[in-house]
Amino acid sequence: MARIKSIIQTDSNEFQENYRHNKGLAEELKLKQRKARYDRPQKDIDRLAGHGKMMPRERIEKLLDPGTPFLEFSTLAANMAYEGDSPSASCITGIGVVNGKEVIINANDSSVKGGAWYPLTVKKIVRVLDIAIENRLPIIHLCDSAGGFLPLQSELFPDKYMAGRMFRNQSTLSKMNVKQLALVFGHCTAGGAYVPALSDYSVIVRGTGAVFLAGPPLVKAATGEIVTADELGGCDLHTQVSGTCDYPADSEEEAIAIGREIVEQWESPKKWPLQKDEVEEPFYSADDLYGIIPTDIKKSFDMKEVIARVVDGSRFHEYQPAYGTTLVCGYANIWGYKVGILANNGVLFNESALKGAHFIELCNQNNTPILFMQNITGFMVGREYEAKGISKDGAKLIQAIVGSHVPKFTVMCHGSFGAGNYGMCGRAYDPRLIFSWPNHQIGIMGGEQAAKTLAEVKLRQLERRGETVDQAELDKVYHETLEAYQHQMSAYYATSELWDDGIIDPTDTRNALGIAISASLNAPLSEQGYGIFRF
Amino acid sequence: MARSFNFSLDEKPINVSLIKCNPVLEVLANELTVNVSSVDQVSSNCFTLIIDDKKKTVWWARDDDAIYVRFDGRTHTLSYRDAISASQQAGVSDNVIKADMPGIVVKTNCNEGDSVKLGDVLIVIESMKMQISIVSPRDGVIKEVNIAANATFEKNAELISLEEKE
Repeated sequence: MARIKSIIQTDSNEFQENYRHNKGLAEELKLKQRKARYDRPQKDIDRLAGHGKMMPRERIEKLLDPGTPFLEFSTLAANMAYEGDSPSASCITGIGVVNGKEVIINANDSSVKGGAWYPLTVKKIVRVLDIAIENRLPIIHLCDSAGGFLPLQSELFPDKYMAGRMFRNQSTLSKMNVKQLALVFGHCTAGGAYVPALSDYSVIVRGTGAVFLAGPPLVKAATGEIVTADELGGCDLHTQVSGTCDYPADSEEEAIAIGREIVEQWESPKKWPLQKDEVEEPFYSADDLYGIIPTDIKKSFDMKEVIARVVDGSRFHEYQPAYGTTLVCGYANIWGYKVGILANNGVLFNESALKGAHFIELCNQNNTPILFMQNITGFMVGREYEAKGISKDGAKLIQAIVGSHVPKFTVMCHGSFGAGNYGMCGRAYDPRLIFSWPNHQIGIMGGEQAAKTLAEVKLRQLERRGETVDQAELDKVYHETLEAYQHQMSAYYATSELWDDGIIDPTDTRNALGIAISASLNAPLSEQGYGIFRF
Repeated sequence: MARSFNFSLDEKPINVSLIKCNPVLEVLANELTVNVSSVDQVSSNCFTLIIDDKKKTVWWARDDDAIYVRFDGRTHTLSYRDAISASQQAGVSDNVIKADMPGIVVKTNCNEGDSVKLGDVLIVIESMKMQISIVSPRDGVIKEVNIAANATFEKNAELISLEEKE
């Protein structure tokens, strides 16, 4: 395959300015991640130590194979919610390696309000269980949670994708023969009790671990019975009497050792045989990405320069290089794995949408996973394009995505606006994983367009009522809308709300995708089939 | 695995194909058939080979795409070329830069007669809320700038043409 010939001038002012800006964003990301992971009040650290408990990340570190990567999801979930009271949404999820097998980790973070579930905690756990289902990955639950955060119960308990969905997903995994192990380090109360109860294997730590539908205070309130947590649902009760848990452990270390030995017994996964070639490092350095991404969301950049810094050997077999050029399509390898790439080099025209839909069909024909790299303001507008059927051509692109049987992955490289988000496999289109860069912005339209539109609507309203038009009031509408949009358009807001599986440093894109592709091969390909394309 | 490779050898194109691997390695290099009957690795960058019944000691080193090979007292430079690039000839197709989409010119950075380098920003356009920098596809001289700042243009409009450096 031909190597992409980069024409970036690394000594130009623009490159240097971009570099400083984006390197700064990457450093800000790392700082925020470090805080969400490790900054805890001393009293919480002392409380856990007083109970003989490890910090949640220490448990994960001891559980995973040394020196293997852990692809953490949504580290900054809830970073803009609950006034920052729920770092990482009070749980740690990701893909790691235990005894050479890829597994999903789902760990309660008991160093935050006793590991209580906020609404976004539930959303994050349901999402990681979905990831386990879609990729057929075994899952290890590290349980230590006070249960639902009661003041917000209406936002986490009753609806379809709320707490009940966790146990629905656990049951679905079981039905699919996907293995689950629960390590009970702390309390599993109320709904939380179903996490170990629905796992195939469970280990419980004597003294600190407990599983019960209602804890001692609720039991006392309900029936007047006075009982300790250990008597009610401790290690010995569940491993000797009730049979709810399988293995007793005298310490967290022992529970982890037992857990690792259980995983050792599990059969090796049968992955489907995706074409894999010899791995070649990209010819161009990923560090250049900082200089390629513009400082302004309105500025475009050549996505082939990005592809050259992600794929093996910077080699790319471009499909239809002269047609619909605002959508770059082609084959490449990432960590040896064959992928088809669709990347935006401008607005989507009829030709670009048709080319994209055709290329997606080719990838499905060839059993090649698809990577979408988004920097999209939307589809082309105007009479000429409507007359050529831009809506039905966009519809074909969407149908091709939804009809795909191969795994899909999406990276938010810059803007993601309007229907462009759909046509490039946004969150709603089931990419196996979706990552964002810190410069990413997302919205139904750009902030300035929305502010202008709303100011216009306000003007019409006033005119209809025959009121005088006060320019200062219109300006206020404009600025308030712009501010609200900018707040909600940022990558940090998007990841706070779990619209993605995490923000990554652009230079980590290749590694994150390598793990994602490898994990996706655990699930067999579904059947091929498309709906009715409107021609 | 590919069995046919394109290299440039001391800046001349050469095609190398593996014809047979057993019992001896048979290699077709351009029109010439060569038999390699023994490959013995002496160190990480030294081999002894028996090529057409003659024993040769070969040293090599790699620097990105260039491989330096030394034998018979001479050093040769080999570099790998993918098959498509190896078969491409310089064309005139990139002499005219056309608009991929309708839009408006934000600014022009070049004038007729300017010498430009590959990757230089020639003009900046705006289309569908996006600013796009149009860069030079190669080294050359600006022949014509057909558009001025703030002018609008249609899709496929010829924005700039280039010519060879004299």
